[in-house]
Amino acid sequence: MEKAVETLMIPARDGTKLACHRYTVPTSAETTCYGRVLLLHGSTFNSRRYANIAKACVKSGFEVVLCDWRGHGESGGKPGTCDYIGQLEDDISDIIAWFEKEMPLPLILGGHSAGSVVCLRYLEKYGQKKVDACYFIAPTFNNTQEPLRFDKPGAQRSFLLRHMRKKHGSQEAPESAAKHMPVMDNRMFYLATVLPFLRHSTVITFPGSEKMAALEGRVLNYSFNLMASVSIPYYSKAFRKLKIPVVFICGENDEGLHPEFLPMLCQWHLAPQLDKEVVMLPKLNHMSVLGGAARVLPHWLVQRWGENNGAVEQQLRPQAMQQAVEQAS
Amino acid sequence: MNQTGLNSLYQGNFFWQRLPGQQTLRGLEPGQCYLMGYLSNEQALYRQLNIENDDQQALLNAAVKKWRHELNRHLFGDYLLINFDGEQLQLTSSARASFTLFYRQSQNEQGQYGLALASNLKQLTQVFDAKINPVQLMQTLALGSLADEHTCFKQIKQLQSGETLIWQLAGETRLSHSSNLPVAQQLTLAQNSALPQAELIAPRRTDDIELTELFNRLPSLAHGLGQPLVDASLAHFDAQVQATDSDTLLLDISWLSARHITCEQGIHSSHNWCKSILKRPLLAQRSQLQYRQQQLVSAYQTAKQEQNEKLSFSQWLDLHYVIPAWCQLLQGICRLHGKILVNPYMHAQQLIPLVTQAYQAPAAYFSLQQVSLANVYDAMQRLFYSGEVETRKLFDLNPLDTSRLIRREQDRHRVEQLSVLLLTMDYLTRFHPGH
Repeated sequence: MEKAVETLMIPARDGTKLACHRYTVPTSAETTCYGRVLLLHGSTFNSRRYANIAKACVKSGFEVVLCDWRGHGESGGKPGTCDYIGQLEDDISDIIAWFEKEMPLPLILGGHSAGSVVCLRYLEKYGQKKVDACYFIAPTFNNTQEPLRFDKPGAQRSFLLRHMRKKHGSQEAPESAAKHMPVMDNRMFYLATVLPFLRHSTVITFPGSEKMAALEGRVLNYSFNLMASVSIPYYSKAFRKLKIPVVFICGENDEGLHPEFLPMLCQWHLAPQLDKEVVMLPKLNHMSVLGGAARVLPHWLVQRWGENNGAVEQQLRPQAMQQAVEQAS
Repeated sequence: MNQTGLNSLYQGNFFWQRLPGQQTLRGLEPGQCYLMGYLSNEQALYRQLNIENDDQQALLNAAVKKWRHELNRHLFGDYLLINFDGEQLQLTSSARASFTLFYRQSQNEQGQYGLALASNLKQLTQVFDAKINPVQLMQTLALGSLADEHTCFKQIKQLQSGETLIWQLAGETRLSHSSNLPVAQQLTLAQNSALPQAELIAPRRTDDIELTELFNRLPSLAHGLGQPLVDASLAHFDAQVQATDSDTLLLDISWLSARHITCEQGIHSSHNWCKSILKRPLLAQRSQLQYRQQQLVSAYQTAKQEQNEKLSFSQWLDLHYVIPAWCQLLQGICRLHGKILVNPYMHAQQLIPLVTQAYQAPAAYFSLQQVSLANVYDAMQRLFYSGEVETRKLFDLNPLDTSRLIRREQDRHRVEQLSVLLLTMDYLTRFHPGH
């Protein structure tokens, strides 16, 4: 009998084995596989957390590949760092090439949190030739202040330097959100900026107990190289190049992202004629949105690649999506 | 009003093109008149021209035959008329028309001319990869949007209200006739007694407006119109138009009051207020702006001598140039939604009190206290870091100068307009097909 989930160890260009957990659509006379969904986990985590999304997409007729970043989960590589900035998108390229060679299928690329940013970096570097659509679940943009829900330490000073005037009002993070925020070692960060040999040392630490992290397979300390590989300095320049359908799924209570950021991004930074959608899920936060995404994403996929591919009228889409959003929340 | 036949042009966009050196015509049928808008003396014209059965095509053909160059002295209302007889192409707009047509004459390497007409600026800018016209941009910054033949794109012009243009199309394409109703005469000819039935658009209220929604509406509206926006209230108007059910909307006077008003002192120090952020390509246009101002001042002085004009220069400018341009923008927005706007404020008696009472600019929508993400001032400053090269070539957006500008309390509305213009211009550049 065919296994529903298999772990493939795919060689990256430097020989490191990357773990990809493939959830296949059972082959039978009634089922069809419409496409392949590639999902990248968020920072510190690995693919284990995303099995519910994979199972939901498989039910809708999409093969899902959950990829562990190098140094995370079952993948090889040194935990908490990478050889150079941009190695993660090179890894995605190698994974895509491997699957394409094995069996070409329409590819839908996306990720959660920092995984979304890695996807965006991939699209910016390698283009959209091999990707048919993309999705971003609770993406994080930490390089500038305006996408953030709460002010980071030093936000007032940073605003003053960038805008040469005082920022009106400040939104400090409440305790419930602050406890999830990573702590940056500014001294080490600036040193690593000028001294390349320090770029494998820890510059950012995510909250959590080391013991629990070890049990869950989480990586809590990130080097300069890895941190820079999961951030994007100019999100506008990357997003404007998108020419493929895109969906953003985010919880209204996300601790990182300002609730008005994604609608703004869609209007101002994505091409006007693009097939784009923002789904803001009430009551959900940065992590609980995964449950919501497991309902919304398959729906979005089916509307574009499912059985009635192209037959689903545009005007019916919002209604159908609305139902999925209500269920998700 | 006849709602059938020719009035089908209400709904869609119009595009016609003749390529240089080609005899083929695309988009127009010989012997046809096309009317965009409405006639307010249509029934009287049927009687006058002995046309039966309310046949509007026959009426327009007869009117063109009878009055030709003086069509807009006899046909009243708010319209744009296109007549193509196989050899000549005539464009006529009514006195104080809010409907407009954009056109572009091109020349190929052999020196042959081509012509393209479009009801939406975007159709021309995208087809011909149009570049920003710095003179017009400078004029907009200094005096606001004025009814003018020039657009904010090089080589693209627009039909002015009360204007008649005739092109010879047999053989070489060339402009054979151009005439315009004098501005003062347009006011007397703008008879709008028999208005079409229309739903009154909700008055402009700023107390309960959702500012983030307004901010996010700016780019799509600029994209739809194909030009940078000159004021945030246009996006507010766009939202109101979208919310209405009817296809024919009646303008409320509060939307006329939202227009840009240049005060008397402001005209003479026009570009000074934002001089610090203008770069050389724009600053170099100062002499052309002064020349344009002088032209307007002499037209005003002539009017003062000949017609005993009692309005001040800024009021005269408002009446004849600012309000018509504003009405054209409002009509353009309605057309984006497949609707038409009926403007009952065309008479001098209605407009003169409006211009004489307009002593202060409308309040700005956005404030510095608003959330940074969807705040036009902060967003404008961010262009320094992430704006398009084309924007930064024209404007020096260094934070020191922009913050000084933003903090000017007395010019808040003007700074908001500048921010909206810059942001939407940057947005259009970002997604321009030639980019």
